[in-house]
Amino acid sequence: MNAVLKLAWRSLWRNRRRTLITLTSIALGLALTIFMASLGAGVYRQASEGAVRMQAGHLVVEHPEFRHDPSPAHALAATEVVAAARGLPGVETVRPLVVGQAVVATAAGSVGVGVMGVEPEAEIGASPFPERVVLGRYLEEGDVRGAVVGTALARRLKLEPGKKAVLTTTDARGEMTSELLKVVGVFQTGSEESDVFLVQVPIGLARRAWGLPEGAASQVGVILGDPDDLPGVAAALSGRVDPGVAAVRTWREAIPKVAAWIELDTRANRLLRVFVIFLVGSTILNTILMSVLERGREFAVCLALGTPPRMLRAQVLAETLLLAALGTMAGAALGAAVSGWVQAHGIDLSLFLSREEGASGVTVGGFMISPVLRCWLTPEQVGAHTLLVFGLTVGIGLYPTWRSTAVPVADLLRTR
Amino acid sequence: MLTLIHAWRNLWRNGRRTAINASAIAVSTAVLIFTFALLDGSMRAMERNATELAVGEAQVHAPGWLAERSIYQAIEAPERVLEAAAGLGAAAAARSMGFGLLSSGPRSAGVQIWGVDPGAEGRVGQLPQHLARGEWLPGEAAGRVVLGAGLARTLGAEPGAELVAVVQAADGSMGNVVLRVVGVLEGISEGMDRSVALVDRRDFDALFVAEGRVHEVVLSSQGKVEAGALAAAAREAAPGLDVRSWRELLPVMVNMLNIWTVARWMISLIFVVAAGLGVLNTMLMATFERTPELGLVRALGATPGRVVLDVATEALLLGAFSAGIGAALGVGVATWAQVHGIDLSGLGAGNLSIAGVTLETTWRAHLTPGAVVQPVIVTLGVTLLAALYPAVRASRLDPVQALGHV
Repeated sequence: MNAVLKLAWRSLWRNRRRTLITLTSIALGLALTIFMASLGAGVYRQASEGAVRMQAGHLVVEHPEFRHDPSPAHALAATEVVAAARGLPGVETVRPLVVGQAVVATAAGSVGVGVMGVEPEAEIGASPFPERVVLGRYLEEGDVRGAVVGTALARRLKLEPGKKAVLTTTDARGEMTSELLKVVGVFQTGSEESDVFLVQVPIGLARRAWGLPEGAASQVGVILGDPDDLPGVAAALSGRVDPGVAAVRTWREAIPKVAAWIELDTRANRLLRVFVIFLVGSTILNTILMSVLERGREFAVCLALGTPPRMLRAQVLAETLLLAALGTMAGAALGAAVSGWVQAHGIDLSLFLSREEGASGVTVGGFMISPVLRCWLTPEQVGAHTLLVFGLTVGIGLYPTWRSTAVPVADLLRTR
Repeated sequence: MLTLIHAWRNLWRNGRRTAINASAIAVSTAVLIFTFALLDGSMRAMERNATELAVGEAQVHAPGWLAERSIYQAIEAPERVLEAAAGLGAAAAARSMGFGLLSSGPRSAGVQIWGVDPGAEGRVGQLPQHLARGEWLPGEAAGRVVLGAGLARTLGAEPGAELVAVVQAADGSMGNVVLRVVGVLEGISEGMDRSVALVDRRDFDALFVAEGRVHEVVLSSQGKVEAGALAAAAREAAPGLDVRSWRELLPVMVNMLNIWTVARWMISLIFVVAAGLGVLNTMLMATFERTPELGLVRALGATPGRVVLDVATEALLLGAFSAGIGAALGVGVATWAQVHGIDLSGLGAGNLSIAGVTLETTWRAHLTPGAVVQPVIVTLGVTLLAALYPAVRASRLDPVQALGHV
C-alpha cells in the first residue's frame, strides 16, 4: 500500500505541469463555491439581523391572537415574561413594546403612522434607531411626551426637535383618545417605510393612548447575542410562558416577508451554486480524463513490463486520491482566506448608490440592509463543500482508473 | 485555405482529445448563456415590479405636493395633463389623495385614502390584478373601498365589512362616511399593503369636499416609451408641474437595482472564472501534450510562426465549432426557462408561502443578445489564449528538445 502511494506520488510529479493544471482546476473550483456560499450566507445574515433589530427581535412574545388581529386589546401582562426572558442565557436585550396605529397631526397636516412605544434604555445598542438620530436626541428615561420621528415624516409635518404634534387613536375600548407629543429627535434609517411611517414614544405614553395598564405590552422582543442560539432560547422561553396567555414566535413568523425573501434568494443562490459545481466538475473531468488519455503509452509500457493490472489501477486511483486531497486542501484554504478577508473588510457597494435625498440605503421588504457586502464563513460550509468536491473528484477519477488498464498495449507501443 | 484544411484534419487526428476540448468549450458556453439569461431575468422582474404595480412609468404632481401631501396642492387643470398623455400615446390615471382614520369597532388605522378612476387604473398598472380577495371597485359612486392586505388585517376587515372613515375635509369640516369593503389588495408594496385605502374618485370628492381636485396623474406607455423620455415629454406638455419618472420617484428601488447590477456582475465574474478555467485548463493541457508533435513539425522545416499559426487556426476552428454548439444548447435551455420558468419552490406550486406571505417563485430567464455574445467571446478568447501560450513555447524550443519532451 505504502509502495503504491509512493509510486503515485512520484508519478504525479513526473509531469509537474499536468498535475498543477489539474490541481488548479480542483482548488479554484472549490474556492469559488466556498466564496459564493459564504457571500450568500453573509448577505442573508445581514438582512435578517437588520430587519430583526428594527422590529421586536429574534423572538417575539405576544398575545396568541395578536398576529392575526394586531389590535391594542390583544396586549399581555408583560412583567413576568420580561423577567423570565432576561434570566435566559444567550439573551442580549429584552424589549417590552406597545405598537399600534394612529394619526399624527400638526398645523401642516395629518398623517397615519405606526407608533412604537419603547423603554428608551432597552433600545440603546439593541435597535438601530438610537444611533440613527440625525437631529436632536433619542428618547431618554424620564421623557413623558417625547417622540422621535423619521426624516420623511418630519418633513411632511414640518416637525423638528422642540415642535409639538397631536397623536390621535382609538383605545382598547374603542374610544377616541389624543396625546400631545413633543418631538425630541429625528432619525434617518434609510428604510423608506420607517422614515415615513414610524414614530417612537416612551412606552408609558403608548400605554395611556391605548388605555393599557401598567406593565402591559403588545409584544416583548428578545434580542440574542448570537442568532444561531435561536432554537435553544425559543424552546427555553416557551417552557416558561403559559401558551394560553402568550405565544412565543421567531422572527421568521414575525416578519415573514423578509424570511420569505431570504428563503427564496437562498434557493436561487443554491441553484447558481449547482451550476458552478457542474462547471467545476466538468473541468475536473476533462483535465483528469485528458491526463490519463495522454498517458496511454506509459500505461502500455507498464503493462508490457509485467505490472499486474490491479497494481496499475491501484496506482492511478492513488494518484486521483492524492490529487483530490491536495486540490481540496488548497481550495479550502484559498476559499476560506478570500471569504475571511471579505468578512473582515467587506465589499463596499455604496459607490453604486444614488446620493439623492431619502435614498441612503437598500431595503428588503421595507427593511434596510447595509450596502457593504460581507461573507459569513462557517466550518460547516467549508467542510461540506470540501467533501463534495473531494467526492466529485474521486468519483470522476474512477473512469480513468478503469480505462488505464484497458489500453491496446501493442498498438500504443508501436506508435508514438 | 490550406491552413484551414490542415487545421481541420489535425483536429480529427486525435479525435478523443478534440472531443474533450469541444465538450469543455460547449458546456462552458452553454452554462454561461443560461446563467446570464437567468440573471437578466431576475433584473427584469424587479424593474417590472417597480413600474407595473402602482407607480407607473412617470407621475405628475403639483409642485411641492410630494413633500407635503396637502390636499390643497392640487394639479391645476388636470384635463390638460390627461390630454397631453393621450397625445403621447400613453395611458393616464388621475388620483386624488387624502389622509384619514378608518375604524371598524375598536380597531382603527390612519390611512392614505386614494380617490381613483377604477377603469383607468387597469390601463396604467396592475392594481386590479393584485386582488387577493373580493372584487375591484365597481366604477360608480357607491361607497365602496378596497384595502391593502396589511390594513385589512389591522382593521380585521374582509370583503363585506363596513368601515367608518373620518377625515378632515378640504373646506375644514370633518368628513364622515360609512364605506363597504369590496376587495383586498396583496403583494404590491409594503407601504400600500399597510396604509392605503382605495375609493372611487366621486366618493372621494363627496367625503373630502374636494371639488374634483386631482393630486397625482400616473402615466404608462406599457414600455413603449422609455420612462425618462416619457417624463420629459410630459414635462414639455405640462409646464409648471412636477413631472418625475419612476426612477426619480423610487430612489430606493433604483439603489436596489444598482446593487443588483453589481451583484449580477460579481456572480457573472465567478461564472466566467469557473467556465474560463474549464476551457483554459483543458486546452492548456491538450496543447502542452502536443509539444513533441509540434517539435516534429518544426524538425520537418516549419517556421515557428507557421507552427503558431497552425495551432491558432486549430484553436479558432475548434472554438468556433464548439462555442456554436454550446450557444445553441444554451439558447435552447434559456428559451425553455424563459417560457416555462424554473420553479424554486421545489413543490411545483409556483409560489412560496411563509406565515401567510406569498412570493412568486418562478424564476424566468430573459434572453438578450448580450447574454449570448458575451459568453461566446469569453470562451473563444480563452480557447485561443490557452492554445497560443503552449504553442509559442513549443515553437521556440529546439526541435530535438521538443521531440523528447514529456
